[in-house]
Amino acid sequence: MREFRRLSVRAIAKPSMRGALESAMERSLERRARAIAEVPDWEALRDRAREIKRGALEELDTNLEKLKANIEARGGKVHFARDAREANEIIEKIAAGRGPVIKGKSMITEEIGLREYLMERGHEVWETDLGEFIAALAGEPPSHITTPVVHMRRAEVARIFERELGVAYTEDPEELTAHARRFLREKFLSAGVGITGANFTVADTGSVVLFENEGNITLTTELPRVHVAVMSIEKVIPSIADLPVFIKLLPRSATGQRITSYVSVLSPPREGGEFHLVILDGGRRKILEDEEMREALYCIRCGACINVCPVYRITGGHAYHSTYPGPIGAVLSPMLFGQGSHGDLPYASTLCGACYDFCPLRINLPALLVKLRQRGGGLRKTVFKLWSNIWASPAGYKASLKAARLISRWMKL
Amino acid sequence: MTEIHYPGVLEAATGVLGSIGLEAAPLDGVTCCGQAFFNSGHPEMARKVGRSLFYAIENSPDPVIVLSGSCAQFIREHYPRLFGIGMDIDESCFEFTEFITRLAGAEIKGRLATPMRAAYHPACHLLRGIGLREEPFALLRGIENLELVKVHKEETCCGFGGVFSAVYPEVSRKMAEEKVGTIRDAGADVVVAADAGCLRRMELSGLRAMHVAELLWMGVRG
Amino acid sequence: MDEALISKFIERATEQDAEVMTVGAGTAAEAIGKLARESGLKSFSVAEGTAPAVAEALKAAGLSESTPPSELAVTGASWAVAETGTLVIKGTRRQFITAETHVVVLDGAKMLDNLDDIPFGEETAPFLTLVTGPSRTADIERVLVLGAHGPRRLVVLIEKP
Repeated sequence: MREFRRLSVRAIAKPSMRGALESAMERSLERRARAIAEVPDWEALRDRAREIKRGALEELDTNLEKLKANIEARGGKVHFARDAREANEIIEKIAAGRGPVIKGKSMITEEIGLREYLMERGHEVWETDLGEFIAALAGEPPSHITTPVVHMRRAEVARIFERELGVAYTEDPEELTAHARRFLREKFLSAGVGITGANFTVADTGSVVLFENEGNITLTTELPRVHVAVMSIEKVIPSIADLPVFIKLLPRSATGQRITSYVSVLSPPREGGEFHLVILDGGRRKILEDEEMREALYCIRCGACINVCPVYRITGGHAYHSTYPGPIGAVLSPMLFGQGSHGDLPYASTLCGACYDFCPLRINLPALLVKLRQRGGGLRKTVFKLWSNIWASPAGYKASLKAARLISRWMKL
Repeated sequence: MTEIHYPGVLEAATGVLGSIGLEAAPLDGVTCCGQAFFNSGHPEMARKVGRSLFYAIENSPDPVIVLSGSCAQFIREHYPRLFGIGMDIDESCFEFTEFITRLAGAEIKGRLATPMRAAYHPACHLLRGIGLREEPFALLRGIENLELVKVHKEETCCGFGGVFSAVYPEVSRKMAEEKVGTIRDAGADVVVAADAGCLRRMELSGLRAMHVAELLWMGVRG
Repeated sequence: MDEALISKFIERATEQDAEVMTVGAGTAAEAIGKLARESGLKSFSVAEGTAPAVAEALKAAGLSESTPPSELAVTGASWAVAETGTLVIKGTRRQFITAETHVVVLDGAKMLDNLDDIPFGEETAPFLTLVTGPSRTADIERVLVLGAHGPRRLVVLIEKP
């Protein structure tokens, strides 16, 4: 349970990572501010989104049933998976013997370790999102949910491409991107299975909605014969009429764009294609049933909380040793992966509240973090108990002040 | 924190309030608001420690002024649930600068003997919790010979975070270094804030730190 | 036809690196032929429902028609959204997403004010793509690069009467 401490200290010692992170976050925040200033009813949109999510979760099973029925009516297949292992098994079975696999960026597939699972079983798998592609070539996990290699400088990318793709060393982002385009276009054309996540799914129309800038997700859903979309249970919204609210909130909060280059509203399968939706529980149902913590499931994965977090700014994403970094990561990780391994994360926060300010769904992340601290048993119970006994009485309090002054000076607190 | 590190603040605050015709006396028989215990995951201990303060606020005929933004915010947000209903806490307990600007609607007029260039640091719980944004700046502008500098990313947390500074001291220190850096870059070598935790954190990173009450009192006395 | 909306669309789409021009009704094919000649591209495909004159103009410009992937793709758009500079394209995506240059012929009368005006409920099936500008990425040090995997150029021809 010392991971964050160890990793954050290590991260502090890496000034180049800090520099890359710092300017990236600054720019994201500036863009976001401008994009939001344009929307006069931003606060009303946040309220509306929260209300939609609240309703969606309240009727979650009904919505999931509707979603399933609508997809199956068109000839698509829907699979429910309890946990990562089950999800991976289902997907592997679908992919077996169908040829190379290409993937769009999807946090849920990161969470279940899908790529590694498939590759270990002999499948050829290619990440197509540029950032994920670079991270995979580097053998590293992504460090941010919307900008996977925000922590890398271009020189590092240049070295990776030279080594893994055999191209001449270049630090020019245009040239590097062109190399990736050429390399991956071949993979797009020869792939048999395309795997994506799902930013939203819509119950009343059975739609799968995907946001992207690169075009790789559209290619992934269009070229291979088989499209597999993976989602966790809370990603369904009740009605297509709810969608515009999220189209307005997500890109502006995430990257400060009015809208991403491509928003796909799909009714799969496409003609001549095969479609599978894998719906994963993975610990969400437990959160759903927990009234106090339920709003953690309102998250639309925009990453705004991560971009504004002053702690993340210092440590970067890898210090959180989890698929999900930053404030939302500190909340989800102990709940999904256990307090035993991730109970250090709720303390990785000064509770400054900037994340709460910025969250488009107004998730009270600081309050959730404190609740998780409580549920994890709290800090050093014996020490705090002793301390609280002394401070319970005015006399004890006064007497201890002198001592406290000395101790804290000594401990530099 | 205030009593441990900045014992002169109580006297300064009393003096400032006196200058606008308000008589203030220290609350008797209290210990600490208990937020450190709450934020460490021990709500029952927070209740035990904060009990005397809760009763004192409940029984006080006059508004209670708190010299720390984070304490004031903690009391207002959590005491109703920790101690069960009772008082309308939003009417009974206030942070110092909040009280002067919003409740008393007063200006503090004063003048520093030696000109000073300072940065006002908006402590997170005062800024986002209680929602005090412009008021402290306006309040400080009443003091002549005080120049307030504009700090880049001034709303970023200083890195104290209560128990955070003890659990992740390296990150806390780094955050404070960056904060102090932005203040120095803005041309100030002293920071003023309404939260002793922030002040102490920045002081440990080499910056002169002063509580708002102390600075105002300096100006009032001339 | 709302001129103000069209101007707003042009402004916003251009901010997202689309190239937008207005053409007189029935002259789109000519404009596309000219563009194709200047582009140096070699192959093209047109979406179902595109006026035959377009394919003719492209052949006359020396490009050969091919099944996707083709270097130049011409499609229409069911609507456009001024608020975001977005085109709403119904139907299959393979044809335009694989191209180097995507040309969209838009009837100016189909301009909508904002995203709320897209008739999602009635018109989702089967595939709807909101396209705003060419493909882009900023994954490397947040430096903007156009043409990540999708088209490098998005050209919008707004047909006005």
